[in-house]
Amino acid sequence: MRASPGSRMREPMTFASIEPMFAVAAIAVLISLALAVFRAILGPTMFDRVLAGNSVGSMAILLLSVVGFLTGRPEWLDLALTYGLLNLVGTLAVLKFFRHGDLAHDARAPDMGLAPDPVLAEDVALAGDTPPIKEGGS
Amino acid sequence: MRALSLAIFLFAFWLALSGHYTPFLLATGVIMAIACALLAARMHILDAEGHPVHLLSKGVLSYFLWLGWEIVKSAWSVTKIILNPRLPISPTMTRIKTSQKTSVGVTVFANSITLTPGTITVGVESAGSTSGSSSGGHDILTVHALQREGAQDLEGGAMDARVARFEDA
Amino acid sequence: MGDILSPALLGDLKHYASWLFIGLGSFFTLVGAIGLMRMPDVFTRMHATSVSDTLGAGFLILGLILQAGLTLVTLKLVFILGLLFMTGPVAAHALAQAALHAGTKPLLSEDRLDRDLGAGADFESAAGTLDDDMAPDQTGDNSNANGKSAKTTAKPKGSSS
Repeated sequence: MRASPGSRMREPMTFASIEPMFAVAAIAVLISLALAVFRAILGPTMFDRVLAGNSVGSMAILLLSVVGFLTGRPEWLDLALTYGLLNLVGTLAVLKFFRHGDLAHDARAPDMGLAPDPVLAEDVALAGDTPPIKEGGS
Repeated sequence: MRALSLAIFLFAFWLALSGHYTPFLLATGVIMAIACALLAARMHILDAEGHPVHLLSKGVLSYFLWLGWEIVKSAWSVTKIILNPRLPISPTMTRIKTSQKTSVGVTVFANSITLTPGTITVGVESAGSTSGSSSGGHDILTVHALQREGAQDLEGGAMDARVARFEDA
Repeated sequence: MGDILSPALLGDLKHYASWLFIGLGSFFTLVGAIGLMRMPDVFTRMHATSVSDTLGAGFLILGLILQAGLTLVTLKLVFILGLLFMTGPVAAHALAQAALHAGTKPLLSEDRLDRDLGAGADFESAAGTLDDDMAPDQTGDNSNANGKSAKTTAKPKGSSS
């Protein structure tokens, strides 16, 4: 059916060898990324900025994948995967930090150390949602 | 049993990501997969919630095809709203009853709602929070919809029934 | 069969199909970003980004998969798509909940939080409001609500400012 399955991925990168469809995709993703950055700058509330940051993250994943095809180097896809994992952690960390003012806050077992005992945590969870700690500043 | 299945899944993931199949790397992958499965078992996260492999044998493919079609339909309607110069939105907050039995089912339902453009699950009220057991009552989701029709579709309960069928099947 | 579906024709078909998918993916990604700029508040903006996170990413990666063929690259692209589909809702839900918890009031044209969760009432109210949904006066009303003070606040118990 085809000569060699991944042949496009192994071509050397020259200006003439740029596949137009990947260039189109890269440009579209770049424009979207710019719009998301504008939203991050404009965003009236902190949550608009976090949303824009999360959106920039998923655009970056797409851009990394497309660039991998544009340059013929599939290693970019591994970067995209790693970036995707970090994007979620980053978004949640920012949200948690602004909600509790503390990244180590554990809503289930407030006085435990790093790893809450599952049995105890279950008991605490059964008592209902623990009310969040109110920050005095905001 | 579940640990073995998790180890197999992890090793398959290792193989897919690695791309190098020398004996040393394969052995490392086996050891790492088993170690991760044992660690997960020790952390008490290796249960029907942490590794819901039992859902895989059922209609997972048909569910995801159905969900994909739902996503395409609602994404198209949101696209039309965004590109409409008048921006005809009518944001609505509503509460949706769930009829799933397990928390995995409720999570699948809530994430399906959020994944579908135009509706976002904002919160979950656990029905069993007063009586102490969440298995008896049904949880209630708080949903923000971009348009009133999206909220009404969810209130109609078609998606809820579909997820419940996927969970039971 | 072999003379109809020649390798050259198949290659052409694949080429045009991936052009189509990549074009659609670029279009929906752009639409999501435009929505991110146009929508009036955080919650409605989240709906816009979910368009580019689901359909935009889905079509783009589908196009790339067609170009990659049956290799390990395809598998990795599938993993990337799965990662986007698994983490997207989690991040969106966390963001929405955090925004509501912090006291951000969503702009609402209708608040149905206190609706009756019985079986019969839903359909009745749905039938009553279906026809006037997209009427021009309705949207004019809505944009009025955006600009002025006629906002319906969302959660009675979430107002902990």
